[in-house]
Amino acid sequence: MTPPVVPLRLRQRIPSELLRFVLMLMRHPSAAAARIPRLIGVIRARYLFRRCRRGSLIVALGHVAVRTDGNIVIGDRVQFAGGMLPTRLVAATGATLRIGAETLLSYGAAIEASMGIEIGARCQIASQVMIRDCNERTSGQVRIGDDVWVAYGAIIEPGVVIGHNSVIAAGSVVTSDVPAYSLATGNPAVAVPLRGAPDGT
Amino acid sequence: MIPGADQARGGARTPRPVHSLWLHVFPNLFRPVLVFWHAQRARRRCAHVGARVTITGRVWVHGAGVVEIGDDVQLRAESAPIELFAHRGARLVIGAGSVIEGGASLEATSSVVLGPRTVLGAFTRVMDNHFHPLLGDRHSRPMPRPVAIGADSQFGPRCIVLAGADLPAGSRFGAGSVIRTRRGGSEAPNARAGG
Repeated sequence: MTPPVVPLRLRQRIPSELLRFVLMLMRHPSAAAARIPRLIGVIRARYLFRRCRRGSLIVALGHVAVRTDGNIVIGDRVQFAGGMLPTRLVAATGATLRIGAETLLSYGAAIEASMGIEIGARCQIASQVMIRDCNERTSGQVRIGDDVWVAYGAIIEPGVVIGHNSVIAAGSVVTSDVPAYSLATGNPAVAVPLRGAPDGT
Repeated sequence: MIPGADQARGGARTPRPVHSLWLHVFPNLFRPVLVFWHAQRARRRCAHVGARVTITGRVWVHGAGVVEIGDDVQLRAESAPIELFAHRGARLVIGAGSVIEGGASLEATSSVVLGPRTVLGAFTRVMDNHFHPLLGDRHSRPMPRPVAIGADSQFGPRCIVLAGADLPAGSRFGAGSVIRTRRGGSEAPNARAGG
């Protein structure tokens, strides 16, 4: 069975995930049924992030609390996992919160920008992680590189720059910069190079 | 502050203005019914539920693995749901007389065993797998390392028990501790180790 030809103008108007779902439903109904939560997530994300600049195919599988007076920029295929607590995205007036493509954010993660927070592509932000660029004592832009894994319950303090491919261990509190390809553990976090990392990076 | 969290921790009930007597009488009247109903729901998803298990609030039981709850266990999930997740082929055991506060999340991909009379604080996370390798393809899953917690252990709120933790009986950990490997003896309160 050949898929029906959908006119380009119509194709631009409806979510591509919905289109893919309808096409899939014709060919593999059971596989399509398994994608229903994802489809709901895509449609929900279009509503939740209606005041953000967003890429294509963002999936919100759980509740996301978005509060924005500034700019929130969410890249393509970013996923928000669901759970017992909402994921929280906050951008104050004039602040920019940028999330790179294919980043995964879990439930209960709180990202609060009052100046600027940048999260790279393909990052994994686990549950209960807190990223803020302003607290009672200090403030400063937070930048997180590509492919960074921030594990469960980690806290990233204002002004911290984390290099790409680094890992922030569970429950650690990052108060100073973390170079690329390193593992940061403890409170305050101490970064050690990851074993097996390519040299000269 | 989560409303009702102090109450769930066994502390004093925060005084609230009385608007209607029914608001106070009603939940208390139906509490035994709700406790029974939640226990029945958990029983359907768990392989074994012991006698006199008390559940308040929501308990999520996920996964195709085996979840066993011992006698006299209290799951106090008024403030936030408790998550019990046993992946296919995994075993998650909660020892008799344990108390688990709201927001606790226990996830087993091979084996997580809580000894008898363990106390887990609010939003404690117990997992026997790191789920991602430190380098390389972050979507591949490393080998699990079973978690075993000895009898009479106590964990403060927001503790994180990571893969491979094998704790002796009577271990005590303060709020926000990160436990990842074998420990000898009991820890000082508010001990905190890097994950």
